[in-house]
Amino acid sequence: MIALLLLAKVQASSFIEFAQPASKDVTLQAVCKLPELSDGERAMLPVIVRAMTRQTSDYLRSDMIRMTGGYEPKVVVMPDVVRISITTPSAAMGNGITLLESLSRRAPLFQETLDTCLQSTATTGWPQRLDPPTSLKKIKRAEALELYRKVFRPSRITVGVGGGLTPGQAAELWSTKVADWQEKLVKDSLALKFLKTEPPTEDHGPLLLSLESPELIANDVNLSGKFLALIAIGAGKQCTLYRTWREKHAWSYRQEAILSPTTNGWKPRLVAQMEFAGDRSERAVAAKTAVQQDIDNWTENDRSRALGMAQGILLAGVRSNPLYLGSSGPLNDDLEGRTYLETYWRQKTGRPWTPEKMLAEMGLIGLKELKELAHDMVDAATPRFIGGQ
Amino acid sequence: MNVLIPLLVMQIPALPPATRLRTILPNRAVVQVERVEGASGVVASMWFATPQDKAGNNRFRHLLEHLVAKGQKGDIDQRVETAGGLLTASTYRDAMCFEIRCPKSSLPTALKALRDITSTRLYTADEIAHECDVIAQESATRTADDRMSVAAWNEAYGDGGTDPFGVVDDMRSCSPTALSSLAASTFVADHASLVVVGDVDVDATSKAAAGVLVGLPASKKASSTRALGKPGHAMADAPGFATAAIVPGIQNTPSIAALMAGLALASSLDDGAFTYTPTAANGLMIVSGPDQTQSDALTYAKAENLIGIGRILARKWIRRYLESVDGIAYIRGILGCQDPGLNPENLLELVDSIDMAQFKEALAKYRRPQALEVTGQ
Repeated sequence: MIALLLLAKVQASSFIEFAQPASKDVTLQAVCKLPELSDGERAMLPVIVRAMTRQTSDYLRSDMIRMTGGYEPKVVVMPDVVRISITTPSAAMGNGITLLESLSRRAPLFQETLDTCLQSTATTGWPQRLDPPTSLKKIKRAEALELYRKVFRPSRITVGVGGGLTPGQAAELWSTKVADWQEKLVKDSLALKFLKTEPPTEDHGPLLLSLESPELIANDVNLSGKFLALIAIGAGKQCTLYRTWREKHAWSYRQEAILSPTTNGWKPRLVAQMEFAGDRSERAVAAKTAVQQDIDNWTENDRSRALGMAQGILLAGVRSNPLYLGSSGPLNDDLEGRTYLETYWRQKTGRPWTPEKMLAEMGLIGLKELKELAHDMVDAATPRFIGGQ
Repeated sequence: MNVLIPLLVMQIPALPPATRLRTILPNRAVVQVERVEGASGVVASMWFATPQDKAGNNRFRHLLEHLVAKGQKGDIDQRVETAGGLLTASTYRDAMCFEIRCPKSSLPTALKALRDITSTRLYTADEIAHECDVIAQESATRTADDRMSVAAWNEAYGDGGTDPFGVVDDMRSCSPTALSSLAASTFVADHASLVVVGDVDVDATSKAAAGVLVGLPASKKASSTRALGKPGHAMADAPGFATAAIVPGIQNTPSIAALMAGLALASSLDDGAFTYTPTAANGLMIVSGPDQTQSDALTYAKAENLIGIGRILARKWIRRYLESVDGIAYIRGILGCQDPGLNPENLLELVDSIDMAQFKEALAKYRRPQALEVTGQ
């Protein structure tokens, strides 16, 4: 059970503690809210974060592994935030704070490192394929450093620390480390703003169909109900997508309803990998119709199943979760995942993560309303195919 | 005297509740229950070691997994999901796994569902054909890393390293009786292990879990084995490169040394990866990278520079399995169904015991002439 111990403003960055006394480890999950970025800046940022973990001005990657007892720090760019994840044994928490400060303030971003990272093969999981970044032919070190300082600023960073911690200790250490971190005025760089980008690398991966609905904003009053509707449509093996796309038609093996992070909220998508040779627009229409017809036939059994799945997802770590907050899918139900979720949610919505409350709100949604919420999202969805030959 | 005895009894300290219990049932199936205080859910994980393949039916194991996971009446998922759980199934080279994660209160539903899975029936040709269509879609999800691994295993182990995914066109030839025969040889007590992990009462849960496996028949046949693989070179339809150490089961000291060496080598590469499925059988530990020009770096990396990092990473690799609910269920299940005597805790001790000479021997396994090398194209 995670107990919220301390919420503090430390040096204009927020700091939250979640104690889990039984844990032998401590994790630091820093959520850096992204400013408005141009296409060029969005293309450059993943290269910068890859370079950050190769070395800082203080530590090489091998040093970082030693300091953390084997947990390699991870820095990941999401559409709405940058996530820095550092885990150490409890006794080495100070090392974690030291590394976090070094990563966010002193990445040298040497030209050679940037050049190597620019060539690194991008991951090809669903999140990256659904929202592929534009690419760059070349990155100049001076521009990379400008963007690094624009993104990593104290006022943008919320730090969550979870695990076997001594209350207040991490906040005090962080406060000491960043006491001299002043937020300087950053002028928008014209060079960065008008950076010439290349189209995304052509995707020849397996064909994906994505039915995409309008964005849900972070403070949507009906968020719980819409989340429940997405679970009913596309989470688990008795959901609509599994029953129709996989079992009835054998169109897919993997099919899910997902919520992809956006700047202001999340985008609902119904996604499946589909190998077929026929007409794509016909398939898209047939796929959407199959979902709509199945929703029409929902019974109390479907609502009960969705509520059961919601309980499993929100309270028991079941991973068939539409909320795609990880770099390759849902978060894991481990110390890092739970601490990040608490930190991210507070930063994104301004409210704590309260799964019990969300579940209670879901329980108030009757079958009729559930169908309406589902139809609202699916009827407004537009199809998009990604990849394939 | 009568007054003294109650006082003495009151002073005897209560034993702390057991955190782990392993039970070997009369039919030799193994039940393992582990309490993790404060865990948010429960994992019940049922494992069956791969049987010997005299009839040549093991190539249909993946198909069998797909079909039996639905349950006899096809209603397992509805029951489990309404109770807040999720059933997943996986086929590995040396084992098959059916796992349910659920709220603690739904554990009885989960255990009943797992018991239902072992009660198989004769599947129709139409059911087999439909599932082959689904597996054909699944084959499109396989990654470049998968193809690299398959190439390595085929070259090192030949038929003994058959890809557990199977070949879809081959599966289409599977008859209902062949599948039934495979089920009968797979779901046997001697090679079955059920692991339950969560914030549970160990004694009560062990009794409940025993009910899942107690009805399984005994077979008295050994599970599948394979001779140690051979080094060589393979090509793969995937970018990058890989080099694999040919290793005995994980419980052996040379394998732990190879684990340390492989993890250290992978961490020295840009975007390097280390792949190994823990097993009691002979296997492969694979270090891979997307950039072939880095493969030379592996040849010249010095043991003195790597042993420290290797030890740290190997400890962390093992700890991750021993300290998370999912990890505990996985490592105890996959090893327990192959050899109930295997104790994953011993692996940490082995890591600490590896000396420089052993580490250098392990490093050599990733290099010619001992390694299995894969070149991507």
